[in-house]
Amino acid sequence: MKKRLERWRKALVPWLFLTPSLAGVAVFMGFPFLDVVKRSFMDTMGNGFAGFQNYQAVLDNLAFRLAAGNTLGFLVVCIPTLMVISLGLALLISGSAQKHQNSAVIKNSRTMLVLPLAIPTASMVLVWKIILCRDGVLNQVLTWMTGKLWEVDWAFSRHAFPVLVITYLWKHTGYDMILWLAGLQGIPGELYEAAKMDGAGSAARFWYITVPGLRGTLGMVGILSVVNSFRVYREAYLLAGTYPDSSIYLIPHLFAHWFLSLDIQKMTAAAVMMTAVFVTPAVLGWRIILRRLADDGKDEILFP
Amino acid sequence: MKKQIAWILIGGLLLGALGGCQKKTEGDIRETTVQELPQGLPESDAKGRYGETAVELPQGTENQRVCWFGMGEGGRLEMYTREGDYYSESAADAFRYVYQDGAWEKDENWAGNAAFKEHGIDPMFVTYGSDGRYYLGGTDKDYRYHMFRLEEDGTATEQLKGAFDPEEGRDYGMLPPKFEVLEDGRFLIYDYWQVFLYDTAGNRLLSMAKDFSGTTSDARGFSEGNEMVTVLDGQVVRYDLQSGKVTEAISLDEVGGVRSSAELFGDGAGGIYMATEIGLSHINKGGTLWETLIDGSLNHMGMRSLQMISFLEGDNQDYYGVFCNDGGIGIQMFHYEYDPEMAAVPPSGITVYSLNDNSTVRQAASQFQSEHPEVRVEVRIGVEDGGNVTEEMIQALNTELLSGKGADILILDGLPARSYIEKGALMDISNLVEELEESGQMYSQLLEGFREEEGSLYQVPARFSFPLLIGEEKAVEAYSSLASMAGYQGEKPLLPAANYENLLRETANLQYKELFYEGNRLVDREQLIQYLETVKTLGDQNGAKTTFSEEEMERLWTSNNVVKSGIIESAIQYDDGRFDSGVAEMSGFGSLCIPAEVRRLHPGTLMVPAGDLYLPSTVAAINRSTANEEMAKEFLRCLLSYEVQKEELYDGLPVNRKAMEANVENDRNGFSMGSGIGDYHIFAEFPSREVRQEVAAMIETLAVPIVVDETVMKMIVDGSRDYCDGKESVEQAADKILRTMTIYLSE
Amino acid sequence: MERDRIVKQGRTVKQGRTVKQEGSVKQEQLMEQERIMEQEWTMKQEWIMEQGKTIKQGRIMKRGKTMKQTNGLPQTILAVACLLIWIPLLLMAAASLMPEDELYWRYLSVLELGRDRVRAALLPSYPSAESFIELLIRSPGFFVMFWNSVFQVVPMLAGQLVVAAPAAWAFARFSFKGKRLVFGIYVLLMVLPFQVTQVSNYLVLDRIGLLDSHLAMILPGIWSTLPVYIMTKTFETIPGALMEAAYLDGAGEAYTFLHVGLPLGYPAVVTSMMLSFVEGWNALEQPVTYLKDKTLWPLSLYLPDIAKDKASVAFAAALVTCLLPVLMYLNCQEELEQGVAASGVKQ
Repeated sequence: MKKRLERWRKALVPWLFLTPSLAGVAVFMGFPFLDVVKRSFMDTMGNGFAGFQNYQAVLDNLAFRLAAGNTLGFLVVCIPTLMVISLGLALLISGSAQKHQNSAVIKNSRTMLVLPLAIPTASMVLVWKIILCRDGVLNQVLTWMTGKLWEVDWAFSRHAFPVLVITYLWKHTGYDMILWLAGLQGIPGELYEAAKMDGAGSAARFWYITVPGLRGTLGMVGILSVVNSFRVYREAYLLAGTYPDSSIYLIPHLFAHWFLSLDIQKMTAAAVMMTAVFVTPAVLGWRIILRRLADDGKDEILFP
Repeated sequence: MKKQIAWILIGGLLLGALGGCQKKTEGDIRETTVQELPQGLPESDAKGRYGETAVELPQGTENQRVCWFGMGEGGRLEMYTREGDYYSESAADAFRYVYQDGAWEKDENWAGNAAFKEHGIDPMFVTYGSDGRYYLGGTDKDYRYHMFRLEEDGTATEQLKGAFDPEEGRDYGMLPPKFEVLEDGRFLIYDYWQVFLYDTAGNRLLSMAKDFSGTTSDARGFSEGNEMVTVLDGQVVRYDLQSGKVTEAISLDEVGGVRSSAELFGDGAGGIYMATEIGLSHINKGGTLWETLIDGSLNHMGMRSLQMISFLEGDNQDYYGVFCNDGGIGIQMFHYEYDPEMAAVPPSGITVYSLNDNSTVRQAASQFQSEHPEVRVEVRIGVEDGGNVTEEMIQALNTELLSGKGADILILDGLPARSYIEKGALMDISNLVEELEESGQMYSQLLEGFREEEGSLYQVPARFSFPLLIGEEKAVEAYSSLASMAGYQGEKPLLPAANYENLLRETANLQYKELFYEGNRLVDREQLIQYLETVKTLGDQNGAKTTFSEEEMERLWTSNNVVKSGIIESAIQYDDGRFDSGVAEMSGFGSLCIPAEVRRLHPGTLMVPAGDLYLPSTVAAINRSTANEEMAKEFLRCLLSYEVQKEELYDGLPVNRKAMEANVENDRNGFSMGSGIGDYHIFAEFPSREVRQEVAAMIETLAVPIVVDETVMKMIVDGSRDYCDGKESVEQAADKILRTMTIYLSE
Repeated sequence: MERDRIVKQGRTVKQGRTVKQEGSVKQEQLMEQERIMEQEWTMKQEWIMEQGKTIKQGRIMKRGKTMKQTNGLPQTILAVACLLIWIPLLLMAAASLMPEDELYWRYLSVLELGRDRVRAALLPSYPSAESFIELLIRSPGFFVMFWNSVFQVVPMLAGQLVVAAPAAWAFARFSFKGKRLVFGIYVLLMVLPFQVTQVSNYLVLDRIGLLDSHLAMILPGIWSTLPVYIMTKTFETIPGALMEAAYLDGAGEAYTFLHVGLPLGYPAVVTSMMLSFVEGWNALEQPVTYLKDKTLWPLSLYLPDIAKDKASVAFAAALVTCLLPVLMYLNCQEELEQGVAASGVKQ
């Protein structure tokens, strides 16, 4: 009897921790999500059942295909670049923090790199325009360097894609760096010292201690970067207008336009598909891959 | 260390921010209730509010102007008026009315009129001074101001002689909108930018700065005891009349900032009342918190067509307001009394949403509320003036619509009307429109312009304007198609220069039928190229650019501003003889002054509408999921009714034929317009009755509403910029535009 | 407890000796492990205490101070990165200190008022605090909005701490039925862009009657799943041995969470709070949608409302807006720097 009670208690404990969150999430996030799923099967004003029509309409939609392709391209270019740069900076900071305690650069660089996150986009866009507009700084520099007149409206030209990538990197490098730093701090310093005593070089230390130690953080940074990439839309539309060059026409653009024209059924259907695409490999595939990678086969890791 | 600094800074920031609010809270505490008055915004079921009743005015005042309205001898209400016309040959007659036992009575024995006549003065102002004497003010035949004291024996003696004469080198002297006489006989003269204090001998003692609202009737301010209150730097300020120094400045932010038509008056205890179109507010002496006593949006105070002339407190915590129509005649007077039984907030209500502020909607809201005191009309404005319309705002509105909520009535200007109709967010109001049309009052064809193919009708314009073409026959005929515009061969360019965005918009509007009628025809590459080439040809002829420099703007009389309506006023450029035609937007007879004058100056010039095109505005629709269908329809009836439509609010022409006829009849002699650049000047009187009739008749021919898809227009403007600058070929530009347009259309 | 169970298992299993033997071997191993763990646990506790002491004394633990400073390359790279990040920020700061005339002269094209060469400057030629005065003294609306922001963000953060941290602890430290599914749903809800759920969220808030109040911003913020995710991921990295040790010491679950989990996961909690703060501070869509009453609008909506002709005020407002987040960050920096790393525990 006591044992059973004990078992019950044990099974109950995690739920006790979870309930406050779960209850609120169910109301404020869960219910809306179910409503979204429901709407994806309804017509616009939510009056009639539409079956898979909305899904069909979305898949047949040229704009959706373009946006999905562009978004994928954007993610493929941006996320690895962002992760590599931010990891590099994080390593530099955490590595040098020990060596150069008194360096002002090291001490302050962390703050400086995080600052862009806090700047409101609306004003930042004006600064980007100073640099990127037709009479802007970039063209002046290029004119000075090449001796030929440059008058490219960067945000509106076919160079819009790299422009957007750079603004995204500029803003979010600090964000990812904080996450990497938190991850790096999770690796016991003694491991490095032990390895050093064993005569491991810095490359080996990085490869055998840092990389495995950051495995958990990797997945997190990746997912959060994807989440953040949807927010690049505000920059995009303030900088290049609602209908920008077709190379930076992304899913958020399409969603915004659908929203403006009350096409919410298409938007929800597309969102449901998107989540499915995102979650399926996460649930099925990555776990298997990770199992293989993880030497201890830790079961709890759902996402990398 | 760094951390401590950060904490200190955070503390500083929060304290600083607190300081910003502190002023207000302090006022809160200091605020001791002098009078037991109802609070601003009570609970929904609370009772008690100021009700409004119209006061009947004496016969004969219909065409008179108010000179003064206030408390006269013995604390009685008095009103002084004059004949309406300011510009007659001889001095006009002035009249005195006394309010007694709830009725106005004309004082046939008043000596003032004779006094005015005797001195050859055109009456402007009458007042009862704190010294217990009556004073008169007016202008002589040279338009110089004179001030008199009305003596017991009925004669008038001039005061401050010479004080109003022009200063050296000036043509005009001071024309004060009002003056006050202090107890000791000193004078406070309210000029536009200053208030002057004179002693009885005519010496100027003080000159105190005040804001000028821009209208010559601006007389915001009053004196009480040894203090004078007026408006300065957007705040209400108190001047000390000994030192001439500002002793107190009171922020107006919580009552919506400074208003040009504010009436300030005292409460006798140092407190200040301010009556504006948003209502009556009061502040105690030393307080910083304004208290709203009367909500102007619930009565005539908020009516856009009315101008507040005077507002004052009665004996019994009641108030009187005197208003006139635009132009100064058509006096209306209301009495505001506290009714403890009246629901503090009207029990039911409807909401009207408009992205930008809209005078006609406001007017209709006031009219509706005075007809239905039990209904509150809430007008929700998306963007206060000066703000930008953001996607988030429209998305917020859409969220409400999709949730089955949202305003009962939508003003679709700037909103994605097409989507709303397609997605079924709007109500079919064809029955309502047909019912209105049957009355024979409406310009049916304007309303019918919005009928859908399958016969339903979801939106109806409450105002409109239309483009007028001015020029010789050959030039005017060139506007008939894109091809003829591009192929125009004249001595001078067809159209005046404008930046390319305006030129693109104007051409799209004038050739609406060719480009957009029954669907966007610009998806056709050939058509798009022809359109772009036409604009470029016109631009090459007249010197258009995507952006002008300061020097070019001056030389070409143009600017970089984008005119959203897409019609760029250019009658004066035609008049100047630099171009073969001009375009004007007919949105009211005021806007017709200059085009009509230009035509008169050039014999052989035509002034015709651009085909059957018109520009609808204040396009109203009913939210399909409204819970107040009948009331919403009633509001639309009100919006389109003669009473609302007849008012000239400078936001377009009436769609109500009877209202238009009333406008045609309205001779506004005082109205004139002038314009000029460099050495060029034009001065135009209000159009004659014949011209008004002629142009009103044009309305019958209009049938096609110009509704250009702003998204498409934006794409064309952005995509053609390099082509217009001559940096790429028309094909490149067209392909670029088509690429984005394809995306847009396939969404 | 764990040991008991295994030992008993060994005894009751019918298959005899081999298993029994295994059991005893395990027993020995476990005892050894326990010994180590206990040792570690005391070490850990000491460390926590020491840490507390050092913080109190205002001393930061410094390591390897004596190492020679040779490698300047990382510093150079970091300096360059900071420079790249800071040039735009300096341009903004400079613009906020320019009088209107200078701003027009330099940035006519940027403000779309005409076309002229951009004359970018990292320092204003005629510095003036005009725009700050305009913003901080002449626009009381700014302060109302500032306080609205504070009222909306601070309770939200407090709520997140109370709600999200235990949930993250549950995900990170326990294995229970349905965990994978529930956590999966959390991640999924985190990934959805706001636009998608905007209408549905609105319906929920309307039903509960929260629209047009600060709560409309606070409550959905509290139950955002992003902080749960970030905290879970970091709690997972806390060495399991420490928890076990705490349990063996007879500590309850709540005690372990409050006295081991939170102190060790502190950097993660702070990180996630920081990110939530910035996000809440700069929220745009939510207030526009949920708050019809403009007197409730937060600071983030001040900027889009500023018209073009007040560009220098816009720049000043941007700087003032980001001041609080930056100061908060500076404050939390030390916490962020102290990692689990120092715990001295080998996994």
